[in-house]
Amino acid sequence: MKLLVAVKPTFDIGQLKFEKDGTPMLDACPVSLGEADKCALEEAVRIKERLGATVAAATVGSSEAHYKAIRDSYAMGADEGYLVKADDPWRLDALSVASAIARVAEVTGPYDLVLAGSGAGDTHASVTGPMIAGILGIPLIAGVDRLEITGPGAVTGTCKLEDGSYTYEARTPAVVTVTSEANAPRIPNLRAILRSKGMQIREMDAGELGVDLRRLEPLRVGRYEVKRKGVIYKAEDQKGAAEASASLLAALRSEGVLS
Amino acid sequence: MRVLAYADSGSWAAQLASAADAQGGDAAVFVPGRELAEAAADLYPEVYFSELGPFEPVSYSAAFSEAARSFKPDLALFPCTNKGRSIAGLYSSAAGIRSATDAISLSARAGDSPITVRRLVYGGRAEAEFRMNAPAAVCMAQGSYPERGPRGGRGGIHEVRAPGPASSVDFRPRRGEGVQPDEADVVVVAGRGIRSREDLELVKGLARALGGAWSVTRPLAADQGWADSWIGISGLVVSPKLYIGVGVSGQPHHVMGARGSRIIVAINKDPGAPIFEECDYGIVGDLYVVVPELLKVLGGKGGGR
Amino acid sequence: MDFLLSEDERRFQESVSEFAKRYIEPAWIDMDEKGRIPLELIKRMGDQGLFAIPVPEKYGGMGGTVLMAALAIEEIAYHEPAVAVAVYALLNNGWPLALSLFGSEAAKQEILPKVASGDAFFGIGSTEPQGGSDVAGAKTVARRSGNKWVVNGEKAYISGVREIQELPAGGGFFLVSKAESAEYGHRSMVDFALLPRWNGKMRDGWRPTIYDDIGRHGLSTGGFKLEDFEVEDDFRIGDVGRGFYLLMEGFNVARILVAAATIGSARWALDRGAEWLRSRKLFQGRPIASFEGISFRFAELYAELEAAKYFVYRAAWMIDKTYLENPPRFKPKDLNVPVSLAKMKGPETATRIYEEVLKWLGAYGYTKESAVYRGWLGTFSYMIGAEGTQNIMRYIVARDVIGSEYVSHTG
Repeated sequence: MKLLVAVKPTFDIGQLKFEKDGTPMLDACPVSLGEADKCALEEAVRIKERLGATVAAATVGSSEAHYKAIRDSYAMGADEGYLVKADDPWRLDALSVASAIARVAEVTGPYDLVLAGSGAGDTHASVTGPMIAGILGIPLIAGVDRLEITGPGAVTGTCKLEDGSYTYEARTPAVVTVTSEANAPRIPNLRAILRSKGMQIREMDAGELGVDLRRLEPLRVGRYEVKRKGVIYKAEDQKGAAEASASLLAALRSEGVLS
Repeated sequence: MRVLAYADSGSWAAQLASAADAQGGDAAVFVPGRELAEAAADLYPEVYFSELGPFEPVSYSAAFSEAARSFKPDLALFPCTNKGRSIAGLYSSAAGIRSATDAISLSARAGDSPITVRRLVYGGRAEAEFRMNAPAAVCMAQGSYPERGPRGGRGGIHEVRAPGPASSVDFRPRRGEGVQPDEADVVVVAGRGIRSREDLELVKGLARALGGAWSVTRPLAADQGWADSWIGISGLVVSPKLYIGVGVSGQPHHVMGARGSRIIVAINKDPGAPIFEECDYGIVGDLYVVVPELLKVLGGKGGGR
Repeated sequence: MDFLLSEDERRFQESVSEFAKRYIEPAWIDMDEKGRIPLELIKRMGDQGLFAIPVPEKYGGMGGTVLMAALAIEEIAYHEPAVAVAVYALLNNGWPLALSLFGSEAAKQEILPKVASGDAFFGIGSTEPQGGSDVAGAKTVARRSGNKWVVNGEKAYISGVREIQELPAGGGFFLVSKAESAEYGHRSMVDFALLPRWNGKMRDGWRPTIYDDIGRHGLSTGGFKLEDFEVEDDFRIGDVGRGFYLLMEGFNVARILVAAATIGSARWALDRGAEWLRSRKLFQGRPIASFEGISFRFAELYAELEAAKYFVYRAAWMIDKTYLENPPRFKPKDLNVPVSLAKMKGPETATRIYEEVLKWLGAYGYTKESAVYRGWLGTFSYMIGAEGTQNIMRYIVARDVIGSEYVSHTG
């Protein structure tokens, strides 16, 4: 079996700071392999350990963080790594990234599964996986928290969507996106980290792959402006809590949100 | 500007109708199922539908593409839900068009002028404004446009062919007791300040007293297993009239799931909790003291500790 | 001179931080309250490769460096300010390294793999009831008897006395004693890998007691009497007469790791302090960070913490270049001052930081709920001693810098 996992470094948005004029300070923001991407890698490596498979990791971008993402994928158990070179990778649009990954899959495959992390990322917001499926014209199981190879050429995934739980069985090849609830990704030990240092990363050129990388040109990017009233009551003890509660409920009544 | 929306609920049909109206021009909607189509005909002049089984992204997206072949939209609008994003991703890659998700506002004028989208980025901590040329696909964030009322008159209903599902589907509906958070006017959410599963009763009691629904933040569901679903960008996204976070710190991914709420209230003993920067009203205090006081003022309905 | 960590060191540090956030941080208060580290956690740490980091792979270690061990201990302590797990980890990194440097092949093959896997404990047994700092004054005596040694004496204030009774394989100590009939003096000592319980079996002649400490509750402190306790000669560490010197070399490694633990804990305290200074608002909504009496003190403590941290990294780097490189760049005696500086500054900086943070927190810091006091009490155990007292650190620096002929009182 051959599995391809699309990975990307993401900003740790909890640590993102802003300049006075609202510009996000991206250069100072820590970047690492996203939680959902790690879960996707973990699912792939578990399949490798259970059934025997090779796992390849692919990313689009030439920053140090992108090379580290492939090395971290190796430390988690990936066997091969592909990096599509792209300067200024943070503004690439989702369709460009998906096209590049799809081409890597075509050139280095065929793969039984293409996996990606789903949700809770910073900007691409869960469309990249579906786009890869759309470009390759193969089935999509999006947002799994449980994944199983259920037979030769068959994959089953369970997804918790807004209205309930969906279990899909698809024929491979297929695209599967994995949520960060799917598993607890293994933490590489020192030996795995040291071993991953020496492994080759195969660099690829977008032009040679026939992919046109386009970047988003925002007119402006600024801190999300909170338009809320911000009325704060203090409740330091029982008496304070009673007063604050009364004030709050009176305010909510005048807002018309209490029936 | 010709706008084709995808909607799988009355609420989304109404929200996207209002988003489409704001652009001027002609609007239409695609819905899965004749029943929804009948309801949507009160909101849109043109309604497309297919009889589809339980949600499966490839076939749903193919059916939407059929409707798009007929209607030829400049702009396709989708709900920014898990399902909506999947369909938007499949549709836009098949059509080779640009897309944007988490859009909070949209402005498109007729003809060749580009569409200006304001969308949330970096986990909702920042917003970015873009110009996109038509044709384009946009996923709208919950609550960014209000639900439209009926427009008067009935829209035309057209059935389109749909392929069979690309994967077999087994669907199990979410079973919840009482009002569900994505349908309620009032949602009370328990965060990590709630110390035990038993203490959730405080939050449930407050929800009952206010006639609303209760839910939790992701750690209480995914890590502790105290609930099946949670409020957040990876779970349920809600936009009730009133949201009350009890012991919720306000992590970006949770806040993204509730930002469309009309009024946000926070109760937390940590004055530095991020949620206090994004609330209308807040109480800095121990929830174990404050919530019982709230219940007292509300008349003690629904019980407390 | 490259002051930054290498990419591998950073990645390893991140992996330990990830591990500690997932498995140690959620449980640290409970462990301190209940006075126990769950055996499952110890095994998980063994599986993750957090013990015997600098020990060669052929003995089951991770083939890493002392600097990496120090980074790991610092990260663990950052997520477990009461430092019981951090100390458990540092003992099982430092003393296995000493065994791997000085012990016999047979002892290394027998003991080290089980320590690395988290099935056994290997710590230090040096202090005695009548004195700790005066190592040469030890009264525990080892008498040669054929292929064995018979050991009699008593050790006190030893970490791990309970743990070796509970772990699957058991464990023991790098233990120092006088060789029988030798005169008082540094040349009279011999070291052993003394295992009171091994492969699940208790050995005869070991009588333990457990103490009730005021902090660092997760890891036990106790004492034991040795009554004709037998140790095979294979488990002697180094030559007779070299015991004192090998012990001091082992202490150099352990002291760096101790300093790393106090620094990790202190970093946690200072981060909690910074959060408080930002969010606590008084006198018409001013954050207390805006009062310079507070923020200037923060800056001073931050400076001390940075300095203490770099003392550790520098000394750990030198230790690696002494024992893990060929030819060695430094001699063991070159390590005395750098190590002593680190062990002097680490616990003292931690204590000053905890005191100040507790003052900023006010009455809230005085409550058990704030949990900050647990880190204060945990790190204070290193003000008191453990791997060398603060005064001995001063003695070493004074002796080596001013000159031993002026400073030494042991001749």
